[in-house]
Amino acid sequence: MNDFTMKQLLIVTGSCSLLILAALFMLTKGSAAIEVHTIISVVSEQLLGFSSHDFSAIEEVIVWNVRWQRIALALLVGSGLAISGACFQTIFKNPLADPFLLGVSSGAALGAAVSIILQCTQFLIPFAFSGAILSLALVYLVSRQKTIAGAGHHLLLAGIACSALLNALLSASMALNANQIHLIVFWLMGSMTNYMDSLLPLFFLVSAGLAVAMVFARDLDVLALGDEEARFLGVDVNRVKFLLLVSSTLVTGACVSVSGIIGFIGLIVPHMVRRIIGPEHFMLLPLSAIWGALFLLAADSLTRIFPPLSSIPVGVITALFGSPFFLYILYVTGRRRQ
Amino acid sequence: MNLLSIRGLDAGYHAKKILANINLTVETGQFISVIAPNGTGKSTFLKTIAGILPPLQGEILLSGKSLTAYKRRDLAKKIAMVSSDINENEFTAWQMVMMGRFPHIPRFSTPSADDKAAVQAAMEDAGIWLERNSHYSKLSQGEQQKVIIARALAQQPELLLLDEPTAHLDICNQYGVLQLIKNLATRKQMAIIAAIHDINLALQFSSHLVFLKNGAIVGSGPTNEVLSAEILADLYGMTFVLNRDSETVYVRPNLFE
Repeated sequence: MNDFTMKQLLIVTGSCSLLILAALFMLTKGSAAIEVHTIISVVSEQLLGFSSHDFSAIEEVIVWNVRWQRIALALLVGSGLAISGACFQTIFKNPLADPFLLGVSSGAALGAAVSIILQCTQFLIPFAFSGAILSLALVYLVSRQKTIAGAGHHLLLAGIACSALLNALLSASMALNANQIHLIVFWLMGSMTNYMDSLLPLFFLVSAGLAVAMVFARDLDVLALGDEEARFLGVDVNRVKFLLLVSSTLVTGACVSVSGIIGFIGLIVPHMVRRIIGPEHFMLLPLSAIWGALFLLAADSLTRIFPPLSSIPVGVITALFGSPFFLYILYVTGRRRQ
Repeated sequence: MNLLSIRGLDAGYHAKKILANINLTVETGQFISVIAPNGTGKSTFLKTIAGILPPLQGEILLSGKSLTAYKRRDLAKKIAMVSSDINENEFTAWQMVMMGRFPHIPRFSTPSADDKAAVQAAMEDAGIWLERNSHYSKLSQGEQQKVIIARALAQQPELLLLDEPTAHLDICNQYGVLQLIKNLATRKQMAIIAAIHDINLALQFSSHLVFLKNGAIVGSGPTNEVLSAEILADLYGMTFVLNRDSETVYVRPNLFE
């Protein structure tokens, strides 16, 4: 199963290099002109602990505290959403499943809205994250009737129902606090501009999420065939599903609470990667992470490189540019298969 | 060798009992066909034996150990299932068969040389090795069924369960697939329990028959001892004619009396 072919190896190394190049390139972009070698020194100083020290303190602040933080945030959120999306699609055997399926986004949005309404936006991230976790707990309580045994639909329906409930609460709270609507709406549309100090926890959560999913990569392969077949082949279906749902939801919750709701990536990136590399999760998961990161970075970069776009939320950009690209991928791979 | 013994088994879903007081022993090398009209619990029977449905009452012993005491993973090393449910998926034939190795590969490992050898052997035995790089969904239904058989072989089970394994196949593939399974089972000392609708097909391959009616066993034993027009009439509510020739026995409904 985990045999690497030359093609797969090329795709992985190519994707990694592309990611690194894109990140470095975006470090050079911004209002202050900073040389590439300066940037490389700053990055190696920060990440590896040594460099030639040929940069000023201001350059270091710009490159590291401003640009790199924003890039890193985009990378982490993008990969987190893509990994969760890949897991959700397999667990629910539903190509339309996305990381927000179980009401995580609605819960996070409600949490964020509450913190905005209470005017304690310094606690927005904890509020949003708690909202996400509470919505997850709510969905599980509702769907627990018959355990989660064989209840892909139970869980899915419970998630949709809870989302609807939370959305109604969100709309109500927005209507009752009309003067803050624009703040809430802007948060909902997603952005990379705000919350830089949450990088480290986000990094740990996304890495942990990827690690857990990778440990269960072969279980996910078998699960893709259907729950009953997976049981015949020796997968402890309930346990594996529960573990992966919780870990994916935590990752999603963390991403959403930092960046707002960014659609498209968790839904489309895993499909795109699957079309290119095949359905095996051992390759699908890490490549989804890389391409999710690349996509969100590219979308965020567009708003930075082209000033006219700067006021458009990144969540809008991902859908605006991503959907046609995905349609193109569908068309090309579809034609190749005929 | 006694592989499976079922004692006083009641089975079904939650409050709905479908099978009552089933007693059966299965020996290595037997090919047992379960003959029953629609909706009498053939699938429930197979699922209970496979450990997917917990018994409501009674016990099932596999190699002397209670089925419920097995871990899912360990059970998959002993029991494999071949059904006719064709799932659309994007895996290649090789990847599908490698999934049969799932219970054998430890959590933090990748497939070993042994696993790959087992996959190749299983695919060669099932006659599907040449198609290993094809996508499962692109294969013909006969070939797909061979992939599923190869996957079951890769599990290296002691008991093979067949749930309508020939449902979507033409007559040539029906006989081909069952002949293949029977030969392999004989060679590898496996026992088979099969649910096959086509009685004549079942008769060609079974060493033993089990007749189910209203959730109870109404007859079981070696094929040529238990098969009779009477028991079929009892089961299906119509009269049958048995035709024996030197090698085998055929059954047809008696429509002209």
